[in-house]
Amino acid sequence: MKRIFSIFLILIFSTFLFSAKDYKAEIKKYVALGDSISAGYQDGGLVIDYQNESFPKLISLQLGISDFQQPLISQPGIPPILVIKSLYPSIVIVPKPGMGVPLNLTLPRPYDNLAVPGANTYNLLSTVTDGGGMHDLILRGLGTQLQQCISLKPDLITLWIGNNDVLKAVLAGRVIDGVTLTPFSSFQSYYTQIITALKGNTSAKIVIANIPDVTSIPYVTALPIYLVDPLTRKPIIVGGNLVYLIGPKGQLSPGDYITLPASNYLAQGIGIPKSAGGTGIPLPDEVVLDKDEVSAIKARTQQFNDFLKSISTTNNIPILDVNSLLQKATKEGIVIGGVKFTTAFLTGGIFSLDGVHPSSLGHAILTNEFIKLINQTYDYEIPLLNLYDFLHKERKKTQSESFTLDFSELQKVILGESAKDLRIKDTK
Amino acid sequence: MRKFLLSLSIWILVSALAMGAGFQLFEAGSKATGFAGAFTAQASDPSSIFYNPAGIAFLDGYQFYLGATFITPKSSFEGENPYPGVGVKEEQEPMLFYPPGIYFVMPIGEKLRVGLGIFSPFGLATKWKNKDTFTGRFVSQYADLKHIAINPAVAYRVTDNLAVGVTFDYRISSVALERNVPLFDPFTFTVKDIAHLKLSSKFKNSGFGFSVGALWKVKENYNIGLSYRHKVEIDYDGEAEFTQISTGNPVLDQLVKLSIPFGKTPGKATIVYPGMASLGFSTTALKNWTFEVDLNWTQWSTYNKLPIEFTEHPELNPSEESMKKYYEDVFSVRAGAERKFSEKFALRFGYVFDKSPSLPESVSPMLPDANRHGATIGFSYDFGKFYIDVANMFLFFEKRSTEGKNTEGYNGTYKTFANLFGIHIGYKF
Repeated sequence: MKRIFSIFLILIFSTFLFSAKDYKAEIKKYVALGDSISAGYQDGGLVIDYQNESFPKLISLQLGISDFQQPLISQPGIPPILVIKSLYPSIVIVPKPGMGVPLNLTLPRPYDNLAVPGANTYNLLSTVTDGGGMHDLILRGLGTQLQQCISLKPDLITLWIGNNDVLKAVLAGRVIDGVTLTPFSSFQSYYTQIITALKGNTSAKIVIANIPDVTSIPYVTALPIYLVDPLTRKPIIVGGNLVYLIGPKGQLSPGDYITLPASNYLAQGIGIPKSAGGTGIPLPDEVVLDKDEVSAIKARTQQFNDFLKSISTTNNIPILDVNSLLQKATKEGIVIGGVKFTTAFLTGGIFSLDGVHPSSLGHAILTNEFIKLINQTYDYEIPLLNLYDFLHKERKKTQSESFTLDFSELQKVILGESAKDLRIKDTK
Repeated sequence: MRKFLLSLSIWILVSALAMGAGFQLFEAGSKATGFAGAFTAQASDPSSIFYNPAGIAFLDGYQFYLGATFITPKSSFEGENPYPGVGVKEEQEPMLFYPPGIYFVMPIGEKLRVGLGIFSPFGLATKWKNKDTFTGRFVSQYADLKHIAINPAVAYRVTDNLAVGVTFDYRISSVALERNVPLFDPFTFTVKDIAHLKLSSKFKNSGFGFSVGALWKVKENYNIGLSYRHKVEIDYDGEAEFTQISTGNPVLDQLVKLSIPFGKTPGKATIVYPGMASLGFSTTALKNWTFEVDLNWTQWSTYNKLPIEFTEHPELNPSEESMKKYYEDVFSVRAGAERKFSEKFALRFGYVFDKSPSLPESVSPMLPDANRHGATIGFSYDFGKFYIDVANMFLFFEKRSTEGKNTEGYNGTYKTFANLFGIHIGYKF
């Protein structure tokens, strides 16, 4: 009898040991907190087609949740999304005409995707209204992201916030502590309050994500800081030296970066030395990130990420290392079906046309990374998302008339090696 | 007759090929295959030049042994998420390969024997159906590795019961690899096929090594055999041929044309073929029966990369990471038995467990390796001067999942079965 009993015990025990938990029974409500990335902002706007491919929406589909509500916006989006007008003779990426309208404004409860484009850590914790901006559109006066999340009684929360605590400095091209860059002590305090509130007021399983290094996004890396010969695709060498562009502090040098909107100035000869046929007028500060600015942003990002790592450990909350993922994508690429995807602008596949936000494929990759982390931490077997369509189904149609066959411009820009004639809408 | 044999040998050599999945081949002779390859301790025919060169020291007179193994593999693939996804099914083209075994042994005096063996210790061919739409086409559509070993051998009977042997192991090989080249199309944000890449080398690249063996007839009815074959590196000097595939967008096509050197360009590849060692034990203690059990070790860790280099276009060289292969040294176990029914006729059967050297990371359309279980039956008939050995191996591959770890991001489960039919004819005079 004793033996039978112990066999029985072993059986029960092994059921616990070897069978994954039922995620469908345990996760009925999933809420996403965050910023533009979680919101599914893509190609410089918030629009239904892309919102339906946001990683929170994709995660909800993998979880089998049918009623995952988002603040959907009709085409062409708010702000209207960017489209490639042409890739030749010059690369022209412009917003679609018109403006989208909210499609789900009357939902009588908070959205499940509460992420607000532009939100930083402070906003997620404290902002209810922003005078007719994105917060009002998504929060609808029903409380902060944090409050609305708690009221939904979620079983699972993805919390990915902090990107805008460093990204604002990149978009502004200036590091002003407390203005464009959130001070570490503030970030630490806001984030701790968010975690404390979520842990204290929900029984949800929480997953957080860290902050990518800004030098892994095409917005910062797409344009070189020196002149490139459009024909040979090689840098122009004069007297054995590269011809560096001119920034507000003089000639740029390795370690400095220019951001995508610099292309508008370069197209007018601004930032190009007179000797190389330019105007000799320096690029404005807001499109230049010099070494000091870059290292200040990198250092702050590192500080934030170290803190996120420690808060994840002390609270037993899994953290998705998006920073390492993007570093890998930059250095080696992410290989899917023998195809290598990178963080390169236009041809890398992971980033959308604005150079800051992920493409649908980027969201799909993030979805699987989140699912793997959730499965591993909480012992679920949530199925991974099938990426086949994200590689092969056409997602964009270039709005172009007819192309003439001369490709030097297209070639150099696709290869990310020159900026002349690349006009892109400032994605601020 | 001699002329016929010669042309037959040439025919076999030229078309020598072998099956995919762990590209070692152990079918050097049909008597040995009847024992599922457990032959190191018997080493009782000229194919010993492959299994254990010491064995030829005990052979009498002049002996020819030649034939081939006809291999028909059948492989299929079922996709898993994330890529290519649940529901995707792929199949390989049915193929037939026939690695040869051609041997000659002659005495020099009482104790010394010399010989020559030509066989195929490695080989690979995988060809996927519907190659233009095959979901793994950016990884591999077609792979073909032809590989022949030419081994002059010398063996010496140290005592009546102990012999040692050595071979000079000269290898000739060719390689062909085909796949499509993808590009992420910024116009549509989808992946497009922009080129077909064929890497190939002529059947002329070579390398060399050696093998050694010992055979000890412990007592009248008990043999112990030991053999070792050294690893061999072959550098392939060939060419890469890029053929453009239209994306349907003339602008993109023109850009592609400017970025890829269409036509032929020199290419190089290197494969280090693993060393192997075998320990066998055989007995004839039971009347009319022969039993043998072998343990084989294959140094697959030498295949830790497949470096490919475009000498004139280094910008096209694959990254270090993508050339890495995750292979480990492995053991296989072989056991076989023979029952003699008369002086002329014998039946054989055997079993082999061949462990896959490939970690899930490297289980790919090019080489979807798996653990293998082989069951063999065989017979021989002696006509006097001529004798014939026939064997058939049913080779069952365990289902192999990439466990989501494939380095090319191509995940799923492979199923393979292969039939190996071997026939060798011996001639003594």
